Amino acid sequence: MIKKVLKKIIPKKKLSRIISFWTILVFFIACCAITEYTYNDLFKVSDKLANIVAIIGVSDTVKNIDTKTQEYYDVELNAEYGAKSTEELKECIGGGQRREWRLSLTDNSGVIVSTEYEPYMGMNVSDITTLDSLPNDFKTLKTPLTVNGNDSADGGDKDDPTDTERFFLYGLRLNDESGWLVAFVPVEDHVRTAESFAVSAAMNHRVGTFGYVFLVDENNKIISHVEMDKRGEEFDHPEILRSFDDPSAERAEQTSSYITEWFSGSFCTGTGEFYDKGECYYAVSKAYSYYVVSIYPMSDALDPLYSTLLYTIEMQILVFVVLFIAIKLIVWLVLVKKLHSVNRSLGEIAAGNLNVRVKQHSAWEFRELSDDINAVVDRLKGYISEAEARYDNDLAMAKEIQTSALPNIFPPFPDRKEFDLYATMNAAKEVGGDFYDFYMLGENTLGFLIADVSGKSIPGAMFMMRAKSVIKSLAESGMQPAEVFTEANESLCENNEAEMFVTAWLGYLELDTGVVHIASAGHNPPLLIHNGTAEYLGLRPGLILAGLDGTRYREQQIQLEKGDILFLYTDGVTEAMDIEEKLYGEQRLKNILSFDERELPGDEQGVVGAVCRRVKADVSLFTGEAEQSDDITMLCLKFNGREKEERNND
Amino acid sequence: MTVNTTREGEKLIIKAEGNLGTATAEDFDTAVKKDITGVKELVFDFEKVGYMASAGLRVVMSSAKAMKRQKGSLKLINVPGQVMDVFKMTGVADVLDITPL
Repeated sequence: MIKKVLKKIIPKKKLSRIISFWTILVFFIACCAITEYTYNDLFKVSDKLANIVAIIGVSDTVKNIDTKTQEYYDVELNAEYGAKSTEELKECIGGGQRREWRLSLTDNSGVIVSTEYEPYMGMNVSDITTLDSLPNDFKTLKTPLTVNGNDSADGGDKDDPTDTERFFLYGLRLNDESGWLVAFVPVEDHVRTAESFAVSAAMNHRVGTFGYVFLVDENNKIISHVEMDKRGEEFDHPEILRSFDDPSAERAEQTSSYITEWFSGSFCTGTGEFYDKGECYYAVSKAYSYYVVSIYPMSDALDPLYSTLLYTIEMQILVFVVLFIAIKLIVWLVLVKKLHSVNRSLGEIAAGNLNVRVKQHSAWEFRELSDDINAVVDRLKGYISEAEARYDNDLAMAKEIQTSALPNIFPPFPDRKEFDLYATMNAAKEVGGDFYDFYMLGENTLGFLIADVSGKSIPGAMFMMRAKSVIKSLAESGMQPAEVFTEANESLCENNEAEMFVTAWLGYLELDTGVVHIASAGHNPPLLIHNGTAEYLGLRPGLILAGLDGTRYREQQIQLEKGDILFLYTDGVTEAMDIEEKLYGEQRLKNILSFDERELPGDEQGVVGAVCRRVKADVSLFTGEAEQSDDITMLCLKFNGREKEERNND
Repeated sequence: MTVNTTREGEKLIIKAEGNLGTATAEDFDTAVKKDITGVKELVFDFEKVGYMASAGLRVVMSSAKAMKRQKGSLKLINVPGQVMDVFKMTGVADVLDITPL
């Protein structure tokens, strides 16, 4: 299944494409892995940062509330009492105040020496007096001080409606440096003051771009929110407030010295859905009686994560494209180009040029490949030359067999005076398919034959041998020429897969009468030379042998007169070509065969040999430099007639 | 030697151009054998054939036999005089359907 899919996906054609495919695949996987890793890493960092941002939102708000509250008391105390002398202050303490603060004076050691509220007399508040001074010599004790002796407070002071026992203390250095003015600010008063600042402090604080801080009171009611209509509503995540109240809840680490210095409180953090901000990081803490909650929308917090991730992906793609181009180029240069060069050489070798050497030595593998190819080609060359030699040998032998199969002793029948006969075959370079034959068929008949097989080389030679022996044996069995061809055709049509055929011309010469019985199977018409003039025999041609089975041949006859010469030939004569591929032609043959016999130098074979030589010489003259392309075969027969004495002798 | 083959259903027309000599006849033979399957009517157009050797005649004869085997017909058209002479001399003109140019 996977193989099938891969087969479909992987391009079949080019090496460079296959490499490209795998490169892209590997890069894609690498990109995914890097992106995934980067995302995980960035997410962890972003998550942590978002928590810190939420915490800072809360702690800043708390600090803001505190600072403003302290400033308030600082300003108030200074405005009211800053300019007063110790004596005046003593009067003030004695004179009753519109404030709920309980004023006291201490000596330099922090022991109260004068107070509005009798039970405080002699109390040591060195906790505040020994604190490091703030600007304006103002001191504040952050943690509410619990003052003993509250039990007796109910009877005493005029201005103590709440009868509180817990106070924030604020200290102001006396002008004469004889001690401190200490204001006991009831916690309720302090909280009220702080609360009046809390709303605005929370309102004006943004967390990130879209996050904000809001306040929830202990009754789970929202008292400060950026969106005005949310005020007074129930806070819909009371569980985060409860988790803050739960002392066993996991607290955020105090992440900066700033937080430690100003606010020792702790934070609960987490994530949840808040209003329309979706999933948010939150941090919660408590300032006085208010829970301060900051929310930091995830989309806001993770925005840099996504843009960083996008940037990383862009960079990866850029790097990939550059690498991809580089790899393609390198593959092309070191592999494909070299392979093409090897292929080109191989192509030339395949086209038959075995002298090409593959010269690609740029890398060890290519050197091996080139050397192997060259070695194979060398071996192939060896085999080919060996085979060629063997083939040439075979051909030479076939040619020899073929030639030796033709009768070549002339005159063939020296005691026969009725005719002169000469035949010759000049085989072309290849083994040809021409042949001639002649035989005495009884005392009074000479059979003679010329033929041309349509095939060359060894198959042609074999078919020629077959045709020759078939015709001869049929002729010798006593059949007439037409019958011989009819039967030979049937025989040659069988098992003729190579679809060769033979043109043949067979004549039976009756030696006493000069009558020639003729069968023609598509062969070139012979010439009859009568009284020095050559004419083509205008006989009706029969179909070539082995052309179609069932062909019937008809016998035709001519009458030879004493001295007549019959000239038989194959198309190697008339279709001999000169260098310009012009054909020798039938007209030229006819012309050369018209001659005065007395001018022709005879020899031991008589005039028939001379005729053949004359034609051959003329053909050679015509063809000139051109190579002989076909066998040139001729058979020449002169009818002398029978002497009366001989006939008497018979 | 150029060979142009046109197929019209079961009819195959092969136009030969050049000489059908010993070497070129082989190209012609290859072209014929390639497309002869399923053909009922084979036509050789010899209008542009200059000269035909016995090898060419052999291709014609073997095509005729092949067509006979698959019960089709072979027709030679536009046969020039010189080629026609060969067909006449070899007796092929009497057994095949040949139309001279």
